[in-house]
Amino acid sequence: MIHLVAWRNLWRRRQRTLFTALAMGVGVGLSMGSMALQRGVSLELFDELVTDTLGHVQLHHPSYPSTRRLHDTLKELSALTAQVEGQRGVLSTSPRLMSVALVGGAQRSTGALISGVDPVREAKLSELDQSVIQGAWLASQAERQALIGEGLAEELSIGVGGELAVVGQDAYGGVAQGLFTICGVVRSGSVELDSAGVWLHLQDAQALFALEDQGHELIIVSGDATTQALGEGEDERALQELKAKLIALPLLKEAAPLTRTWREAMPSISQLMDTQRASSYIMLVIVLALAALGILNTMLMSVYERTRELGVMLAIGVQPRLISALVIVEALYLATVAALIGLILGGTIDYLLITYGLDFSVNGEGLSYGGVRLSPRLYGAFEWSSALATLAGLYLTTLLASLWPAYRASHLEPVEAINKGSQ
Amino acid sequence: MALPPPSPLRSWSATLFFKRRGSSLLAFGLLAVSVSYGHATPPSPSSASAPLEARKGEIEALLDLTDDLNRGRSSHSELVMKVKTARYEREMTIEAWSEGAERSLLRILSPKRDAGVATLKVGDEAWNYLPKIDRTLKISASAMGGAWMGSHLTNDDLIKGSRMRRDYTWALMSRPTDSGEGRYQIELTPKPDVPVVWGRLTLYISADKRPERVEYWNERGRLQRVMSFHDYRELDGRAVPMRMRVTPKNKEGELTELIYTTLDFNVSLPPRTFSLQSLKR
Repeated sequence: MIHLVAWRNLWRRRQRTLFTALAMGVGVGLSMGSMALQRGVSLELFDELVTDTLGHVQLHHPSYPSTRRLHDTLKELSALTAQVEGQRGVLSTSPRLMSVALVGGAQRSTGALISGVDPVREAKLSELDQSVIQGAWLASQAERQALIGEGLAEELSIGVGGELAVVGQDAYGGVAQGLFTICGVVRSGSVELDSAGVWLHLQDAQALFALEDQGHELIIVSGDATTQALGEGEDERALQELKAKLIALPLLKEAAPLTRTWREAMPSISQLMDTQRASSYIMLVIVLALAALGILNTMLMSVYERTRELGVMLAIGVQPRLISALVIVEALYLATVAALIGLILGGTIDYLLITYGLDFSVNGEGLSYGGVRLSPRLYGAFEWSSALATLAGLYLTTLLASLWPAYRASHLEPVEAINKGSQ
Repeated sequence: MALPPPSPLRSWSATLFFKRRGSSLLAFGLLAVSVSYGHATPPSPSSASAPLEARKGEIEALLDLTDDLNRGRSSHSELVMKVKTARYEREMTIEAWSEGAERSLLRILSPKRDAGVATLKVGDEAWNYLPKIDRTLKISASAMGGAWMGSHLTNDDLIKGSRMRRDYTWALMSRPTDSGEGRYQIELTPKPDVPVVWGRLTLYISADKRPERVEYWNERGRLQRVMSFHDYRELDGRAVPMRMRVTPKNKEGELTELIYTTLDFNVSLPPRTFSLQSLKR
């Protein structure tokens, strides 16, 4: 009964109701769109940085992250890798050796960042193997092959099949020297790596730098779904559990490498993502605050217009509580109309963002964010939690904003109200 | 697999890279068969006691003796370099040729991973040859301060070959008595315009005129390293140390030793021994 009355009351002023609902709905829709876009960018950053580069959990020699010394390595790397891989919850691992060296083709030479990777494991863990734009990924056996970044290839005027000379310092301070055949050119998405990256087979790199069975990091990607969800707290908790299990492994106990989750390893990236997330919620709060003002205004007007009518209702014995409920239910119906508009609009925006993306290219290049080059076209990503948060927020603010009009309506003095209304 | 023709590549501009890294990549130099004294500097603190009177000729002869200790008109030698650091100990065998102070060539014989690496010095210039990539690299000015093959010797030590008599002013601090007690102690301060890194050197020479050790002090008067000479042997009518040791003073327990296994002076070297072609062999 009250619902029917409320619904009909709402449409007595069709235009006003529609405009209020439309304003709220557009706000909701836009904030849904912006959340989807933010989520998309975060996921891309996460993919590029966390899944491909940092891993969920990473092992290092305790002083390597601060010193970057060539000889601060993880020893018995193959046994360590095998043990970590045997751990439940570990999806993939990648042992890596990293150094800097001078590299040159026939004509020119320049500094480069050398990464020794296990081709099979690295391909499973990261998308680097799919970033090869010319030639092929490293062979699974060490064959003195090298992959080089696109910019570096250009700088050295060298291509697939060419010879790459690498000269550096080995672990004993002697000369690391090696000649490699370029098997592929990479566009990885990392500004730094594309302009200076060289990837070698792990064993070739170990021989080059006199670091047999050693490496600088072991990257671990978890198979646990929550760790991939990029939530706010639950993924970190799951990773901490995995980390605790890893630390208990015999080889890790013995060597005590530095074991960190990606948030611990790169707090700045973690904060960046959290900030992004927070900023889209702040936007939602602003939208909802505006919606609340709309509701407040509409409902106060509606109560004011109906002063006489409400007075009569009170006079014939309708309970004030019912009057309050009526006003609140009216507001909630208004919110429902707004939510429908918002969902249709937001859904459409989300669909377009997810399907077609948004072109963010500058001169044909993607934006660069925290050293990671994003793709020129950014795509949105839908997240139930943010859609639900938006709707819940809308209803909650509506409820709050209708309390005052409801109070006013139920506390009218019947006689006064009737007289006032008749003036 | 055709390799690009190796050449003494100016294009291999190692300089930039070294600057960028600030490390001692390719820190490589000439194991010239001599002791040389290096590098850039502000004036040194004056020492406490007053210098003794000395004949100029007598002291300058001692300085030349020290500079030319393991150097003849020409030489051919084989030596072992032992490097001991906190992390590792390693040994290298090296074959070396020299002609006067201006030319030298050395080639690493073992270990296998470094075999064939060779360094040529002619005058003020030096090149490295890296056999695995078949390339010759000129040693750039910025690479001079780096350690040579992980040792405690710098490229500068090995390449530059500054002369004590020419580049330093000396003061005799003590001398042996007539009965042969004590030793010569000579303080050397770099002349104002000479590019050396040390603030002061102290040279100790025994009564029978065998250099015993050289102390290297920085400009703040702190001892940086000590080079000492051991196992003297009569060769070609003079005393020659068969073992030299460099001990850095800021790294406890670390040292580098050079031990001659053979050393022949005044050998006849084939023409073009000191050429870029002979670097590769």
